[in-house]
Amino acid sequence: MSKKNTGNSISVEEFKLDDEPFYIPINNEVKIFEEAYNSKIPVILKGPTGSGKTRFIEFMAWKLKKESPTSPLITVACHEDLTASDLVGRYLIEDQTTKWIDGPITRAARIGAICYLDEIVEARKDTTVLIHPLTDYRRLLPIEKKGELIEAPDGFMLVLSYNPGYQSITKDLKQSTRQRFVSIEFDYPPEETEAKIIAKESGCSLKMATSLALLAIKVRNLREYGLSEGVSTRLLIYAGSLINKGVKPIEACISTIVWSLTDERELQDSIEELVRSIFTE
Amino acid sequence: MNSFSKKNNTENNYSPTSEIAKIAFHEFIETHNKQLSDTEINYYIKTCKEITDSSLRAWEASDSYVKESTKLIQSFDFETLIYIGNTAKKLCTFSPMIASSYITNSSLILGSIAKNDLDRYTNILTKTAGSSWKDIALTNAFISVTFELLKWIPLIHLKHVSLISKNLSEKSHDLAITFLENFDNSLSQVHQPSRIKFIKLVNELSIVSWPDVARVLETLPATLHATSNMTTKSFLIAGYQILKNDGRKAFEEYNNAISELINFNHLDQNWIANFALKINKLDSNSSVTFLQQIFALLKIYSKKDLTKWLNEGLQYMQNNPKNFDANAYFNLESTFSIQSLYRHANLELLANKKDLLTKYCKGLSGININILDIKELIDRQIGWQVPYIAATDGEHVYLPNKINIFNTKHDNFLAYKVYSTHQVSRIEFGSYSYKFEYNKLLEKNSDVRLEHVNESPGITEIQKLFALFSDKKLISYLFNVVEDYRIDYLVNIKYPGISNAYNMIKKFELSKRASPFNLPYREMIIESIIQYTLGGMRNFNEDSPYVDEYIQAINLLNNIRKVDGVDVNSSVEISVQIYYILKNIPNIHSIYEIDHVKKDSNKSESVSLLTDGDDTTNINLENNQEIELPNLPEHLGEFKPDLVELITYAKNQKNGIDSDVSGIDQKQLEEFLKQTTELNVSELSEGEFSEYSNLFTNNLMDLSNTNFEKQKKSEADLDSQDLHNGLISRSKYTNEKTREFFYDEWNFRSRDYKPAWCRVLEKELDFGEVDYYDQILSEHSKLIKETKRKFEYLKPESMHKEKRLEDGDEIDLDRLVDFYAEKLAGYSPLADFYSKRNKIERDVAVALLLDMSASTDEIIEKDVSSSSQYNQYSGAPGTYFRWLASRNSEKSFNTNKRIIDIEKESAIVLSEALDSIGDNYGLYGFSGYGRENVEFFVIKDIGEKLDKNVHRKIANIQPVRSTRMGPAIRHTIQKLELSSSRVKIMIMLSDGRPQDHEYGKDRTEKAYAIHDTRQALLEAKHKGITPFLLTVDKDGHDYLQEMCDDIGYEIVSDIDSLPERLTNLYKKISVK
Repeated sequence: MSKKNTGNSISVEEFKLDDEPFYIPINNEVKIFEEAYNSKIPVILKGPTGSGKTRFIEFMAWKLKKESPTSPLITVACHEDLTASDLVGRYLIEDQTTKWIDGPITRAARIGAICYLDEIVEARKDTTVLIHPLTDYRRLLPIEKKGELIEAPDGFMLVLSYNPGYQSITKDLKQSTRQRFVSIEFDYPPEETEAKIIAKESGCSLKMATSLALLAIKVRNLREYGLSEGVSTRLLIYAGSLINKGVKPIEACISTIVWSLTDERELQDSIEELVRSIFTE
Repeated sequence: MNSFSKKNNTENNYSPTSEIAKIAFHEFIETHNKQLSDTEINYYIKTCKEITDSSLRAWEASDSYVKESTKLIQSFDFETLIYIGNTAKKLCTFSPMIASSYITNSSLILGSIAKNDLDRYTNILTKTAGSSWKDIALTNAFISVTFELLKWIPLIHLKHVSLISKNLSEKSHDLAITFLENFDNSLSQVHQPSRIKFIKLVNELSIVSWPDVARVLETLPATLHATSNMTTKSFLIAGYQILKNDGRKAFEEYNNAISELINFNHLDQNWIANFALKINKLDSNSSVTFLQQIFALLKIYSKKDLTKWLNEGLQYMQNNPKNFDANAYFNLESTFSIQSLYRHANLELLANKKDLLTKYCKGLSGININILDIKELIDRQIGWQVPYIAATDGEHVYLPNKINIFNTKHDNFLAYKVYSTHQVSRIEFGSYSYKFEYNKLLEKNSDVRLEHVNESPGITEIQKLFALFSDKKLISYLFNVVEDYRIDYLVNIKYPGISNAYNMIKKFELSKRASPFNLPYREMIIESIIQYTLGGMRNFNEDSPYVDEYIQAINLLNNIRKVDGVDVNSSVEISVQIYYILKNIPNIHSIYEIDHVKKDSNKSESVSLLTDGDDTTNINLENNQEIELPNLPEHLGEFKPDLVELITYAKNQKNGIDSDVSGIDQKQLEEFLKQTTELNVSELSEGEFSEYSNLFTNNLMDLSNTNFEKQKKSEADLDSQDLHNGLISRSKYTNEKTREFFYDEWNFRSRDYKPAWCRVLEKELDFGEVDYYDQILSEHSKLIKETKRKFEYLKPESMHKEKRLEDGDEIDLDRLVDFYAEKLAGYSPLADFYSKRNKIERDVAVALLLDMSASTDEIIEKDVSSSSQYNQYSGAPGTYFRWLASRNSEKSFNTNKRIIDIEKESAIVLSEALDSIGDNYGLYGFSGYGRENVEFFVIKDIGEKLDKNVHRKIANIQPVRSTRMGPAIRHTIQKLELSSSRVKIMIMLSDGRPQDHEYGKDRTEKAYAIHDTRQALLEAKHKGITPFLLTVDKDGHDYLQEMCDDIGYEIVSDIDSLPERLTNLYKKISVK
């Protein structure tokens, strides 16, 4: 990614992905996404946390919008207080007058970027309804307060992500929303791929990364003991990074994996024993 | 002549009464005429006469005296003879019979004591002697055993024995006699220096607990006999204190407990005695508890560990005697004590690590593996036998219940980890997935020729392989060794973190093994290979016999490291090749023998590996010693691939197509047994074999069935896991008939919980009458209607507006105007002009807990005050009879009701009302007897619908047994915790104080039960549950105040008003 010398602020529209984000395709997800983009169909990315959804979308944005002069991707992290007006925009008072400020989805629709709503089920219900006209053949974004209609350009695409692991009755996607999307399922990558990802992302040796990937499989075997998500690739990368910086493997794994995954003492002990079986002192 | 006449003179004055005595008297005079002077003779006769004259029937005594005289003078001297006469004279004044008995036994007695002590002896007799015939008989019995007693104790202690017999005779004469007859035997078993302590103890026993004397004398001396003198002394001191302070029952427990001593050596006994005495000095009763526990503990823990634990207990006893419940501590009935013992011990217990290891194994293998005690597998009797090592049947990992081979707890835990890793790795790395295939290697190396190899006998794959070899045991053994070596290798590659622990255990196992070089050659090589796999035998002496074969075998073994993707087939290949090498090594001791053998087998000139060596092998075998295969290292566990394969096969068949037909038929199993290497079937006769095979079949079927059940059980466990996570899955819940739960109980004496003390059995209540519910509904229709109406008010307003928010759905115009005004005025106001409408939902869960103890069966008595009003008639005279009739009918209606009926009615009224406002509620009943059997009846679970079934269950609420409130409350807490409601309430309806079998020191103690109940109520409070107690016990104030502290309670004096009171109360506490 560009602009790594942070501290400077840029507007969303100026944000660019210069370097190719690191992503190893697992299945046919790249192909499906490309075709969905070409066919102007919105996409839902489903999968556990840290399984590479965000990285995938960055990769796809880079791949599909290399030539785009404006930002290829606008990401919104959804939370439970996120309202429709947060997404669309609102009037603000400036001096004695008011001024309209576009929300992220409006901006994306104007410039034809991929709008990525991360963890959509966390947002309030009214937001999901808002996106309906954008997601079908109309591709329109009505801005009621301004009395304006934005017609999304070809490059615009709406992508949602959500984590079925959290599914509960209160936080589920409505059928009317679900059925407007193409879904791509994510799971943790196969052992060897995961090892490569860990090695690449964290900079640790491939041997260490292989051990971390092995540990991941062992820990994911414990899903039924309250670890519904298993350990994410992201956590493994954190562990790899710490190890790369000279933290002892066992200590790194305990901090990043054992203690992050659960607060239950006994389960922690069990995972710690797995760590101690795989890594040497 | 002169002298004789003199003698005669005196003689004439005295004559014995009986004929025998007369003869004896004359003989004595005749015989001793010469030895004794006249004076002496006269003195003798005078003594005889004096005895006769000393009392009315004293002639008996003097006759005895005369009869014994010859013996006495021969054994002793004249002086002694006279001395005995004189002492007997005194006894005659008490009883001539006693004197007579004394005289008869005197020669024996004098064998043990000096003549001068006879006075002291007779003093003992006179002090205890009485005049009744029983007393006399007792004293006589005492005299007759004196000689025997004096063998074991000095004269000075005799009086105690006499006193004991007297104490006993006051209760039972026969017992006293039996006691005297056997006491010398008891004494003989007790060490000499401790005998007086022993007598003292028996004396105390004769006072405190006389009926037990006989039994104690039968057992205690035998126990003491097996101990050293010092130990005996300590136990006697302790026993005495227990008897004195704690009475009969405690002493009986003490005596029973120490009978275990005989199974321990003197060192252990002394150690036990030491602590028993130390504890005894501080609190005798606790020493009984200690003795009841210690023998079992010694079987698990080392003395060193226990010493630390005991010392900690003693320290608390000394420093904090008031607040420390030593009894609970030594009985391991307190959490503190259990933790202390675990902390001090070096060993690791399976029970403590079972859950951790289960998850560890699950993580490692990805399949659900239960960890079980190896005993369970051995008890199934299907082949596994060794109690202290690990095993797996392909689905469970079995481990020993404790490991104590290293000096620290952590190392012992690591041993557990290695054991289970190895077992799980067998599954992971495919030890049980061998598929038989006849190939060139087998063709070349197996030594049994089969005509149709593909129809090799044996129903399991591995058996088909073994069947190709003449020594099935050896090939199976070698396969075990090689396969373990492969697993070991793969574990170390894949899980390098555990290799340190592996090496530590291998080193330990190696240290236990003896040098191979004293064994016969073949065994020597096998043992060397084993030691090699443990990391030993790296420098095999080049001059040793068969060194080439050894190196060859080791090289074969190490092929495992060279093959990429090494699997079970590689192990098979290698073991087959090693088998061939070993077959050509004779199992004999010396070089001479080997020469001899070689000469015999000279025909085969070179024993090459690849030639067909059948002849050599046969000849060698004839000269060989019976081969004894060395024990395999323990950490590898018992490996039985053919059994595991069979079990898996049987199970798959069973779970497969037809569940009625067991997977394998008897014939197949018999074939399996004939082929298996686990048993020496050939040694069994036909009958024995068929008996064994039947037994085996049954056990195997049991296993596959139980596994199935176990699986179901583990599914149930998973359900409860779900429950813990707050996900109630109703359907599975109701299908279970009875489920058990364990809860701690609060011991206020030790201020600690007794861990997992009470077993709560959760049951569904059976259905009762169909109409009952409706009857009550119509009976109380008015009350129910009114209650429902009142409850309607409890329903909250649906919306609530929250103002002054910086963000919200709506703008509060008033506030906005203010905001602008302020802003224009130059202030910088908060932009809190938003408002939000919030829904407030009523979110209450309540559990109504009904006391179903037997006492609720009581019929309610009306208050005198309330009934008195009935007696006042104030109406018109003409209507008096009508009034009387109606009063009587009303009375009979009321008096027919029991407390439980009112409870049921209250439950119905409340249910109806709660249903109308939609609160979550559960109805439960409890009763039971003893801590093991607390019954918890589910009438309606929280979240369950109030339907016909619930109606019928309510109808069936009946008085059952006792009232152990604590566990029932704790179980209700657990139920409420599963509910996600914000407000949680528990209402307990009872008719009196908590009371149950052993709910307290004894039946009369109330404090214990009250404290436990109070603690349970406090636990509820801590968990955010509002507990409330309603009781109909009018005397409830005295204990409720103590029990409830600041927890709400009410006493319902007029029980008829209970339904109404309950609903009012509910309103009060749920709308806080």
